[in-house]
Amino acid sequence: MAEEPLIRMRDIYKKFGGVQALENVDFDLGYHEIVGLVGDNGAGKSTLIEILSGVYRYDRGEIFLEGEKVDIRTPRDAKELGIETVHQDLGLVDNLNVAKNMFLGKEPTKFGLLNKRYMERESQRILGELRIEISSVRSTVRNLSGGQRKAIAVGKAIYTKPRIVIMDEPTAALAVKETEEVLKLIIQLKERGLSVVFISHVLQEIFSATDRIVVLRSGKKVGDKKTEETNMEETIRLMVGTR
Amino acid sequence: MIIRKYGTAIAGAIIFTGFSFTTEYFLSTHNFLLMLKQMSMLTIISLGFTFVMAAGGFDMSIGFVTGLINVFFASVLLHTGNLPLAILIALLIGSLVGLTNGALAAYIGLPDFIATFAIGSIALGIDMMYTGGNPVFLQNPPEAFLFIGQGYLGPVPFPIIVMFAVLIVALIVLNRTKLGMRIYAIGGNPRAALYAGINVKLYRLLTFIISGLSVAVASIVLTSRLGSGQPQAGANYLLDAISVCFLSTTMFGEGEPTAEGVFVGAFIITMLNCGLTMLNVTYYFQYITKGIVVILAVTSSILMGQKLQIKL
Repeated sequence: MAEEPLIRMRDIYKKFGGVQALENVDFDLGYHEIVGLVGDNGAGKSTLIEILSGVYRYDRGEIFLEGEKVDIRTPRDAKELGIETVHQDLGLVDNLNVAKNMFLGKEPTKFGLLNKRYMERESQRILGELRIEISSVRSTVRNLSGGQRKAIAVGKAIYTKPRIVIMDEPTAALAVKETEEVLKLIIQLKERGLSVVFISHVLQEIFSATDRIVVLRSGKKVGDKKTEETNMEETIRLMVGTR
Repeated sequence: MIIRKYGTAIAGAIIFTGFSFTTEYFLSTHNFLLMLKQMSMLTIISLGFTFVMAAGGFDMSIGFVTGLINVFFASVLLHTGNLPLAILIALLIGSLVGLTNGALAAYIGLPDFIATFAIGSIALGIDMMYTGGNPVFLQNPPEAFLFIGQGYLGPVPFPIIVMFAVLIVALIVLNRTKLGMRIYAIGGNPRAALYAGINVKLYRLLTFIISGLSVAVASIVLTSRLGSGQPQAGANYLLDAISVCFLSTTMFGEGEPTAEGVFVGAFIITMLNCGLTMLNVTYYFQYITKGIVVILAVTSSILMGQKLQIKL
């Protein structure tokens, strides 16, 4: 038997009301691997990764981390296993400032009180390292541009040094230059030893950044190939289901 | 934007100046202390309400629960003469109400409005059934009890001290603690809070318990001021607390309620009540002015592009 991958999701089922969102889906993520997850709207991409990030509970199936069965019930469980997610809606709180957003859920305290100075200093440092330019980490997120908001969401996900980063449409609504930055960042993450699940509607991006491509259609896995062994034509055919 | 951030406070200052010139006794230390004393219960209730509102919730039960606790606190005191026990029971009822509100709204998922409205109605029913609508009069209540609402520390009425104590705790918790930060995060974007691994339901439940406890503290002060349990005593507090919290959302912050905003808001509402009385305006007209003040404050902040964080 081959070596166990970093993440193995087996036989995942999920139903929303009467709709079968996922049916018998297997999904693997290897060490230092970037996997592209593609599919038409409603194919189940987001559902699958929200299960992995603990937002949704799966109805049936198993998840293994390095061969060991794990139970992911909440986003906190996922984070504790080293799985961080950049959600499609970014998961930022508009009325909090940048520093507070970066540390939401893992707030540093001193004598029981928030350590604002530490949050601000560290946010500044982390964003600096990622070459993300924000005039002040004290500015309210509401007042930032789309690109800046996305950058903060990414920075927030990766500064805790996770093992796995899930990116749900990280390039949507970004300018060309910003998109290139995000793609560069994804490849950088892999070089640093992380594994990445990358969701995008733009196949060019998927083909330029990933090692493997998994295709979902109507809640089922219909394709799983190394990027170099497939091509856009085949991928599109799998996505839309015509021959 | 100074006007946008401080507009409501400036309006408050203008009203203050107006009353100072149009009435004889408004601008005096005596009247100032009287107003602070008058506003203490409203401020305490509104501060609890602020926690619920900061988390994006709403608590309609506060008025009737004030009456309920008022009556039971007085009754326990009447029958046992034991002040600590009576206080304990008041706080217990407050937290139980909060727990029920939170269980219904946060865990079962009833809309806050409906859950807390129903609980308020049940509170009124229990209150009325228990008292038959009659006040609970206290014979020879303990000195310590009367001190809470009627005593003085030096020149300062004790209710004012209680109010500032609660205000300071609220300021610290909302602005300086993990709990406060998470509450504002849930109010701002509950989904983001969930993504961040925060137990949103539990925190929402906590805000309702905090609100219930604040109502209990205010009711204890109220009972001592009245020297009796009045079944209908709390009815006005709901309207006033809502006015205060809406005023608070238009002040200082980015459209969310703040503790400092509640203090200024409660002062404005109390000042209006007091000044209009001094101008011999009929009491009933005050309902109309309060309504107008809330509409003006919220309208102006919407016109100035402030995004109010209130979902009903």
